[in-house]
Amino acid sequence: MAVMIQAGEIGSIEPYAINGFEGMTVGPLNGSVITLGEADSGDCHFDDAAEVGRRT
Amino acid sequence: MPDDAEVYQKTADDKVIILNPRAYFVQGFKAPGWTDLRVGWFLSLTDDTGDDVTGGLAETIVAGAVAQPSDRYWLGVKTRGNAMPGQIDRNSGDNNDGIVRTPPPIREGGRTPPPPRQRPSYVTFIGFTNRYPTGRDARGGDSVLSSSDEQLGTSNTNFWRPNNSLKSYYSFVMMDQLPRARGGINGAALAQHFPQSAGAVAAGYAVLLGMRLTRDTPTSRTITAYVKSADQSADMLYSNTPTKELIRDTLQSWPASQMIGPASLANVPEAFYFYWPFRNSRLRIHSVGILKAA
Repeated sequence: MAVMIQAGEIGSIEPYAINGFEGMTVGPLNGSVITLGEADSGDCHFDDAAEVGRRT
Repeated sequence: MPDDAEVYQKTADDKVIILNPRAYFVQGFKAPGWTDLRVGWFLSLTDDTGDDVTGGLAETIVAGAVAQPSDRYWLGVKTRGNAMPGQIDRNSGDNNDGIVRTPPPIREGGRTPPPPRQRPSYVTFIGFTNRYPTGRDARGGDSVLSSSDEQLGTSNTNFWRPNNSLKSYYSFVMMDQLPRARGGINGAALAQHFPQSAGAVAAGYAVLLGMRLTRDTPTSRTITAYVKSADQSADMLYSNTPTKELIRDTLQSWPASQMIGPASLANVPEAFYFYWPFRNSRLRIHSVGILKAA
């Protein structure tokens, strides 16, 4: 079983738009949640969202 | 405050996430019961302002009086949450270990017992880093991004190679509170190379890095890592089409590797984790993949 994500599928970050994805939403950026597109295969899957944040 | 990341259309088929300086990316995953898990990711670098500029990225972060995980790079897998390796993680999750953690039963006539408490534990990390590879003190060595030729020539301008100023083979650890196993040895450094010169690295602008993790049973926290090793490099390949399909195909046939561990760890990693400490350059994430081979 394998699951793969390509960056265009990782998500969209405002104000950018990504075409061709279903189930994709956009979150605020700082400490943001990036919602995924396709990322499921059997019992092996990615979470629905990734997180981006920053260290000083 | 500037954004933490942006999206850049590198090619028609390659839309990239670019982390801004000192930003992190955490992507959780589930692969319950694995005994052979392979992960890979296509990455590249650009400078601090341009979305596709590979020159002038050299930088040194001098090791300070207090060791900061945020001054090291971390490319690998770890427990969930945004705590960094070396820090206490209060949200370790259920760790892909197959252990079902259920709350105790409600006693009749009594008060509802509290849910089971996750005992805070240190972040478990497996992957590439320039942290000092042993002991509690992580101060040893500066964080450096060097220009490199990866033995392809003598110009020293073909790649960018993150490293520790003390030893080039301080490049891979398996750790929780402390490093439990380290990869890279003199002569087989497991160095990672990010293409700098399109002319010299004609194969592509993105490097595929990855590792294979094994454990004897689906609930074990004793893990062995295998990282592709050829001469001094852990690079799996370079590509101008850094697609998820290429990751999948590459992970299916694992190459000659350096074995690290086995290491008994506090938890089992269940998230991709990418953090880049440098301020002159930014990390670009093209694609990531998991292959649960067993």
